[in-house]
Amino acid sequence: MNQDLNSYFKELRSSLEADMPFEEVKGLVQNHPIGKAPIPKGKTFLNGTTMTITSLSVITGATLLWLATGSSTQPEAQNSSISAPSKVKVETHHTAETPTLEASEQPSETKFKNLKNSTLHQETKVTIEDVIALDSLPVPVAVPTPQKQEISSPLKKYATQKDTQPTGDTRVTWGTKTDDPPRPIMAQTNTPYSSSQLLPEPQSPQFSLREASNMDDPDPETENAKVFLIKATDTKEKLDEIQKALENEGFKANIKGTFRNGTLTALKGQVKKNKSNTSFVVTDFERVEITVKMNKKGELLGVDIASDDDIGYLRKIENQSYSQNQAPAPPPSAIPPPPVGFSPSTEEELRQHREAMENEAQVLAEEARAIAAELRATMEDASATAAKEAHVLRIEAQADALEAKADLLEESIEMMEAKKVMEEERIRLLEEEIELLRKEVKTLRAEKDEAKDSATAEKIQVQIEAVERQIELRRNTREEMRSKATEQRNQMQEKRSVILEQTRAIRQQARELRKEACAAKCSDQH
Amino acid sequence: MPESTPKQSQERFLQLYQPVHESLLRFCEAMTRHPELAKELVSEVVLEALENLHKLRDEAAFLGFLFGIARNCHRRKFRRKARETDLPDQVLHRADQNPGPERSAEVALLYEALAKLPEKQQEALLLFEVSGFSLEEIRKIQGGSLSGVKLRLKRGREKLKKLLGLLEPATTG
Repeated sequence: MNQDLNSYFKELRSSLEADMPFEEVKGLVQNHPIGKAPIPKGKTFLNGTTMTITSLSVITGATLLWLATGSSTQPEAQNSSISAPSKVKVETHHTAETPTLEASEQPSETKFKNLKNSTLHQETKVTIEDVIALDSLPVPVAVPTPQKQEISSPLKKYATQKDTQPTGDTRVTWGTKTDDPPRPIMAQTNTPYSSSQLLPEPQSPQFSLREASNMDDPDPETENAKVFLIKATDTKEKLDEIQKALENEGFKANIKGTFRNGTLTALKGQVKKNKSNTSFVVTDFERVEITVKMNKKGELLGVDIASDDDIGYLRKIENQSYSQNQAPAPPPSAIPPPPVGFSPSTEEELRQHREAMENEAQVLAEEARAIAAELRATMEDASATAAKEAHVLRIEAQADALEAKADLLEESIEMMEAKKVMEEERIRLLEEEIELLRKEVKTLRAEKDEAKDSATAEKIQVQIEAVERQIELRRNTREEMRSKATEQRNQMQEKRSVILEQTRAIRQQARELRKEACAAKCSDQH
Repeated sequence: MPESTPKQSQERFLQLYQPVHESLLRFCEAMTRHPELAKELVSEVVLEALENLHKLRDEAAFLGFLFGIARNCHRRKFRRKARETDLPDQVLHRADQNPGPERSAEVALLYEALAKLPEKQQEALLLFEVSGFSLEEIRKIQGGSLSGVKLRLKRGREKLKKLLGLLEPATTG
C-alpha cells in the first residue's frame, strides 16, 4: 500500500511544470538595487535629472534604497542607491510654495529641489534638482524667503495680496547676511533700529492713509535721501548710472538687473556703508522707486522700495531722479516715512484713491477665491473620476478572476466524473476476467470428467483449484474496488455539491461585480 | 554573514542559492499549486532573502533561512489573496485545492489530503517527496531533531493513506 502512496507522489512530481531557469533568478538578484553603488552624501545632481522610483523603502535610521530608472540626464543616477541617515522628505528649496508629498496624494510627476523630511512613494516619478543627503543639507543663509504672514508693511502687504492674483505679480523680497528677520521697507539693514522705526500694521489690507497723512512729518533721523526711479524699459546704463551716483555718495553699491528681451524683469541690489548693509530684490514690476536713506552724518539708514501702483497712486511719477532732502519727515509717533517725494494734491484725492484700491482689492480677492474654489472642484472631480475608474478596473479584474476560478472548478468536476468512469471500467474488466476464468473452470471440469485415468484427473483438478483461487482473488479485488468506488463516489458527490455551490456563489459574485462595474461606468459617463 | 560589499553579498547569495533553486521552485509550486504563482513566489522569496542576507549569521543555516522565508511569503500571499478577492477564506482555500484541467484526479486528491495535514507534516512531506531533500536537510529547514522529522513523515504518510483510502484491509486468517 505504501507503493500506492508513492505512486500518488510520483504523479504529483510529474505534474509540476513551473519552468524558471536559474539565470532568471540571477538577473533578478543582480538588478536588485542593493548592489548598486551608493551615491555619496552631498552628491548634487544636475538640475532636471529625472528619476522614476520603482522600489523604495523608507526606514528611520536604515538605508534608503531606490532603483532609479527612466530618463536621466546623469547616467550614474540610473545605477545608484542613496543612503539616507533618516526619513526622507521632499520639498522645494528656497521657496515658500513647498510641494510636499503627503500619504494621500501621490502626484505622478513633481519637481523637487531637495530631499528632506517627506515620504516618497513607490512608482513616484520625481524630478530632482538637488539630491543632498540629510546631514549635509545646507542651512539656508543666502536670501531666505520671508515669511509672508509676518509681512507688516503696507507695501509688502499689498505685494503679498497681489501675489495671490493669477497674473501681474509684484514680488519684493529682502535679504540680508544677518539672521535678522526681514524688515518691512527698511528691511535688512544692519544698522540698529528702534522698534519705533518699524511700520505698524495697516488697519486695512490696502495702503493706509495714515502714511499718506503723515507724509510731511519728517523722520527725525532721516536727514538725506536719494531717490531713484527705475522703469522696466530702462537699460543697463541706467543701472550703472544709479550705482555710480550711490558710489559718489560714499556707498558701496552693487545694482544688477535681469533683462529679458530687452526688458528689465528683476532688480537685485546691495548698498553698503561702513557696517550698514542693505540688500533688496524686486521682481515683476513696471516701475520701481528706490529711496536710499541717510542720517545727518551720511550713514546709511535703509533703502525704501516702492513699485508700480504704490508709486502710481501716491504720485504721478515721471521719468526723473530725485535729489536729496526730498524725503518727507515721519511723524513723531515713529511711523516711518512713506516714499520720498510724495506730495498728494489733496486728501480727498487720496481718500478716493484708497477707496478705489480697496474696491479693487476686494474684487481681486473675490476673483482669487472663485478661482481657488473652481480649481479645488476641478481637482476633486479629477481625483474622483480617477478613483472611480480604478475601482471599475479592480472590480472587472476581480470578476474575471472569479470567472476563471469557476471555470476551473467546473473542469475539476468533469475530471472527477472521468475518474468515476475509469473506475467503473476497471471493475467491468475484472468481471469479464472472472467470467473467462469461470468458463475455463467449466472446461477443465469437463476435461476432468472425460479423463481416462485418475492421474490425469488429479492433474486437471489441481489446475481447476488454481483457477478457482484466481477467481476468488479477482472477486475479492472487485469487491474491494467496488466498495472503494462507492466510497469515493460518495466523497465525490459530496465534493461535487460543494464545488457546484462554490461555483454558483463565485459566478453570482462575478455577475454582481460586473453589474457594479457597469453601473460605475455608466454613472461616470453621465 | 561577515561584513561585505553589496556586490559580494549578491555573489555569495547566488552561490548559496544555486544548488537549491530547483528544490525551492518545486516546493513553491507544490505550495501554490500553480506554475505561474510558484515563479512569482520564488522571485519574492529570492528578493526577500537577498535583502535580509545580512541577518544570516551562519551559512549552514541558509536552507532554513530560505525556506522559512518561502513559508512566510506563501502565508502572506494567501492572506493577501483572500483580502483582494473578498471571498471567505474557506471557499478560497477549497477552490485552490481543486485541480486545473491538466491535473490528474490523483494529484487533486493528494493535494486535498495534504491540505488536511498539519502544516509541519505537510511541509515535511513536500520537502521529502517533491523537493527531494534528505532527512538531515529537512531537519535543517524545519529545525528540531532527526527523529522528529522521521516521526513527522511517518505520521503524515499514515494520515495521507487514511485520507486517500489506501489503508491495508485487516488481514484475515
